[in-house]
Amino acid sequence: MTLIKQENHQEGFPEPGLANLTNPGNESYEIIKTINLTKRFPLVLALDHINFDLRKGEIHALLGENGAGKTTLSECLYGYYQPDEGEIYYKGKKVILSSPRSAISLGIGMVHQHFVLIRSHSVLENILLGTRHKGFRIDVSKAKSKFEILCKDYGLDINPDSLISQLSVGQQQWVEILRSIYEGIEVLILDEPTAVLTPQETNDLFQVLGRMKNKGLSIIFITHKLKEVNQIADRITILRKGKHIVTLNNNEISEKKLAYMMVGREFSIAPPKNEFQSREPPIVELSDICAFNDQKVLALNHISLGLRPNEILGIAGVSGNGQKELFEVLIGIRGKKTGSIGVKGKKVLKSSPSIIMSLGVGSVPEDRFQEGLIPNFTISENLILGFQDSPAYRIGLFFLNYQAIDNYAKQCISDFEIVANSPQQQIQTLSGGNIQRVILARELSQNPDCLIANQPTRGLDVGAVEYIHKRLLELRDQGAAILLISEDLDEILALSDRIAVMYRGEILKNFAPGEQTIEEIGLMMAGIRPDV
Amino acid sequence: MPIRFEKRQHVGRLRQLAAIGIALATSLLITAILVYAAGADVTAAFASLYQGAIGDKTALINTLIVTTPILLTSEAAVLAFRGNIWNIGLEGQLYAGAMFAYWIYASTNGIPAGFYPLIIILGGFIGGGILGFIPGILKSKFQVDVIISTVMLNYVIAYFLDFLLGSSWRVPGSFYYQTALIDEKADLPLLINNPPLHMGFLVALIMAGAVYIILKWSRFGYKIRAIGENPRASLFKGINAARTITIALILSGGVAGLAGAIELFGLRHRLRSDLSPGFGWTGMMIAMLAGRDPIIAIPAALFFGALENGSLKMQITTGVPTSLVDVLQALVVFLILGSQVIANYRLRRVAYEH
Amino acid sequence: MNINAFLQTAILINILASTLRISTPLLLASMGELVTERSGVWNMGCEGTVLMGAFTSFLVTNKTGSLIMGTLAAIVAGGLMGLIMVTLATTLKLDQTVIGMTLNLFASGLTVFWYTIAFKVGGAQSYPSIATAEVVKIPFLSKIPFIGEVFFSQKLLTYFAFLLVPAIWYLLYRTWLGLEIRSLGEYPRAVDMRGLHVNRLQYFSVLFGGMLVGLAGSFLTLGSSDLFIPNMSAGRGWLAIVIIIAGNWQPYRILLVTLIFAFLDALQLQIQGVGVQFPYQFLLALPYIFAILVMMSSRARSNAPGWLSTPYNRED
Repeated sequence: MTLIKQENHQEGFPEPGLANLTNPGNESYEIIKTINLTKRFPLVLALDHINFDLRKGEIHALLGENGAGKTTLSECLYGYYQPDEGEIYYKGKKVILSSPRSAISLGIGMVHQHFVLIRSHSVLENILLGTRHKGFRIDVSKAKSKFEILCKDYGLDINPDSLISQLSVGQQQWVEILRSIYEGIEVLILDEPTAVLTPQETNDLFQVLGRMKNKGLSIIFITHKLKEVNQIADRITILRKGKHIVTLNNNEISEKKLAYMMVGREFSIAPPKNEFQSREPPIVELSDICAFNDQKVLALNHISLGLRPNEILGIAGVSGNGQKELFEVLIGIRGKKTGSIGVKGKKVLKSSPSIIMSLGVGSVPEDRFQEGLIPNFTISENLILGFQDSPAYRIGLFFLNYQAIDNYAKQCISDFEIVANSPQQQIQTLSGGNIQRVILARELSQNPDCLIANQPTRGLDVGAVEYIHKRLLELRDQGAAILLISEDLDEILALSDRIAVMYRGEILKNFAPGEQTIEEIGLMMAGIRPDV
Repeated sequence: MPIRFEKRQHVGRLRQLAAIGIALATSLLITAILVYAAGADVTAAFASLYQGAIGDKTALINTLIVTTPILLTSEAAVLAFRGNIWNIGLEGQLYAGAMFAYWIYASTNGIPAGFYPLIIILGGFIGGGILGFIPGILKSKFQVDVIISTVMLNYVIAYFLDFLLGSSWRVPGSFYYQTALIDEKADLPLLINNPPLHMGFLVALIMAGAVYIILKWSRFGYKIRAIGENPRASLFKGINAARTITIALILSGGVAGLAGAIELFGLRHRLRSDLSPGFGWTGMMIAMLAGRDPIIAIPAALFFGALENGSLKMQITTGVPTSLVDVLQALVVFLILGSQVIANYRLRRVAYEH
Repeated sequence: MNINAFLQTAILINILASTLRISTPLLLASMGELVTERSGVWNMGCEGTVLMGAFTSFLVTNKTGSLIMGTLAAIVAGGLMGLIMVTLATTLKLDQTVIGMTLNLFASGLTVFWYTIAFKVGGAQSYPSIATAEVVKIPFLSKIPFIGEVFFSQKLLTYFAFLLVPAIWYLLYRTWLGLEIRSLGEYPRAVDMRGLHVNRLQYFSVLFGGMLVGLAGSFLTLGSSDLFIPNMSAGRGWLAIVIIIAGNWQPYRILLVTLIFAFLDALQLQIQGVGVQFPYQFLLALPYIFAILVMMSSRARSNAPGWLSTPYNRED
């Protein structure tokens, strides 16, 4: 572990905030620079020879879709991940960041998208945890006065003794930021900081960031929202699928150009012809649904949707804008929601998942392993998950008819072209594509009237993707209503009869594929409301 | 320290067996050391242990007698543990079963002798089942942790029994806290007279089979296994966890209660506070050792029973205290569980240090 | 029941003094286990650790004649039990409940075995006793009528146990180490992300807790009974776990709950001694019923460490 020590970092308490910095307003230089930075994970190349630089005193936006590599790059700069290839330079000297602690001692701080705060502890306790200290005892009064000075510097009003659970999400964000700058930093990395903020809170944040920048702080600002980039960034770097696409100055960009580069579509895919222009009443109807996520933040904001027979409704949007909660609401596992949900006319807002299933609603969850199946169970056993009480699989009152189940499994294996030795094979030995076929087989065999699919082809090879698309289209043609939630815009465009773009828990627009251009869709995904 | 455990991708059968082998060998070694520390001859100790356990027909039958209650409690544990339902209340449920069966016996008159086995079995099952039902409801309605409520009830039932044994159930005029000797007509029929292997052993075997059938073949068993393996996916697919947990606890408690009733009416014939020298705890250990498998639990229970039985002869012959076997049982659990983890993982030098 | 006799000061003093005495091992064990639990490990082997402490202190005091050596032995024994727990739970990530239960059984068997082989006179089993610790009367204060006899005529370990409460409070809430331990139990990822040593903290907490629990055991022999009896921990380790729950993981509440439970115990002893016809077993069962009731109220569970009993994996 080599670590270049900062010569002018004193031992003991550094000055609060940013006073360690050399003269702001001096000629700017590259405070951070990466050359050929590469990071591989078991299934994906997250960073592909990235050359990136951050100038002193600038706000540099990192833009891109999910999986583009923005967070991975930042985690490498923060020492949480170690790159496989490439180099990082800090203030001109090569450094190896072996842990967040090394990054912090250099003066690099990071605020993550998902806060790492301890909800039952106070603001002060969260800020103090892990800071350098002398001695055994916490000098609470000294810490509090330092905290108050920081707050005053940036016009913040937070009570150090409040518990995190008592604060609003915006305030929690501030605590995370204060935590980073408490020990004195020169570089601050913010990962999607406005994801959970109201517009007003976002403005406050930008004001304070502006003040910090004037004091010489260099900021990396990760986002997928174009409007903000325009507002605050000095330079913008766009990443796509782990590659560096372009770096531009603020005055060189337009929103349209950005959206295009982010989304990277060169052509429009013509959707297949759908003979049944569905005008039937929806089988599933969501009205005015509001729901909270696990962090008690509003995730669905008065959503209304209708799922009609013979129609695939595609939900486009960057992950994290409420799709997960939408899925969970539809299958009945997200409590605490308001509004109304109707399935075939029945009100099911308060219904359990089994009731919703019994009404003919099938689902394909996002996470195959955690949410879709039981890893140690056989293929047969997974094929009846949720349907184990059905008379078709029963002998008498209590017992399962494994012969019938195995026959059913064999049928599925052949119908869905699952590559497996036998129905008794343990499902975890199957490949990803085959596992998804099993899940699809399970749902489709029930002849659902409605199917909710969340990222059904994530991580699958081309062949599997094609197959799943084929089956979905067949299902639609047979009269089912399908809700397709996907980050993959190609997929949405290829399959959907109607598209709805989701952003921050709202549906921005609901339209047929031909009615909007790719760029317009990209803009909506990035939060630019369409001119209605 | 810059090492940590990393899960292997594939664990070969051979590696797993080797791990178990090493664990068993280590336990033998430690046992030998303890025997030596006890000042006894190691070979003589092991020989007498073996003799006492399965050396002759009498020993073998005694082993079966000793195995009966712990086979039942281990099956009770297996049933619950497969759903990750931590029923730590087997001791209490065992007593509850014995108490309920006894209460029926004591409060009724003129029952034809042939009906007693049925009453004992039903009484034991219901008594234990009630004590399993309580934590189930507490979990479903109030989210009370199953571990805590089951442990607490162990104590509550123990004190309740103590109270009854000191008052209305006490042998009239006696100083001791115990019931009168149970009438012969209520005793469980014997399969073999000497040593007194009673019908309970068959019941235990049948229960083992029942648990196996429930887990593998029943809808309910499917649900227990599902919520044990992946509670989230089970939730997504509409399996009602609260109901499954409650029913599992009733059944598990029932089987444990059966152990208590059978031990009382089959072997001990008098209800006292020391009816169980820890059958519930031993049952849990057996269940963990058997990997929560109802069939493997049978030889595992026999193994523990053989050790318990053989230890008596070992003490008589070589003076090594029977408590050695208790130590050995705990060690075997630690070593085997630990060895499997080690087989599944490997040490890896980490590139960096925190 | 003769109210007058009951209210006689001597009896009342007896009950109150007994309350403090009975509280001693409970306080020590619950303070120790509290530190362990606040770091996120649920050491169900608490009962076995108390037993090991009781036995080792008895053994060493008997062989060396020194109370101090015996006390140290109990502390070391408790630490070793904690070491087993944390190694299996944190490094090997075995299930904490299973480890705890097995530890209890291990301790139960080992103590009986060791006792049997350690105390033989000419081949026959002997049952030796030890000279227990003396009551240490605080000068001047112990002369105060009533109060002096109740509060200031106790054994050394009792004073220590009560002083331990504010000490542990201070450790947990006013020191850096305490902040780190509590954070570990609430959200290990937060501790890890700030560059702190998760494993070191974990090992320390469980070991420290184990040592205090072992010390609790030593009081049962060195401070109370002069004999060692199999399983003499008699549920006190489990009671400590119950007390922590009923006290909502907070030191001063734990003190209060301990005093209540100890009082009930002292009361039922007195009642038994007096020969009153009262189901004293009900009093003994009260703490456990109370714990269940506490757990049923959702407010009460609000302070359980958020990551209790769940192992931490950085990859998760």
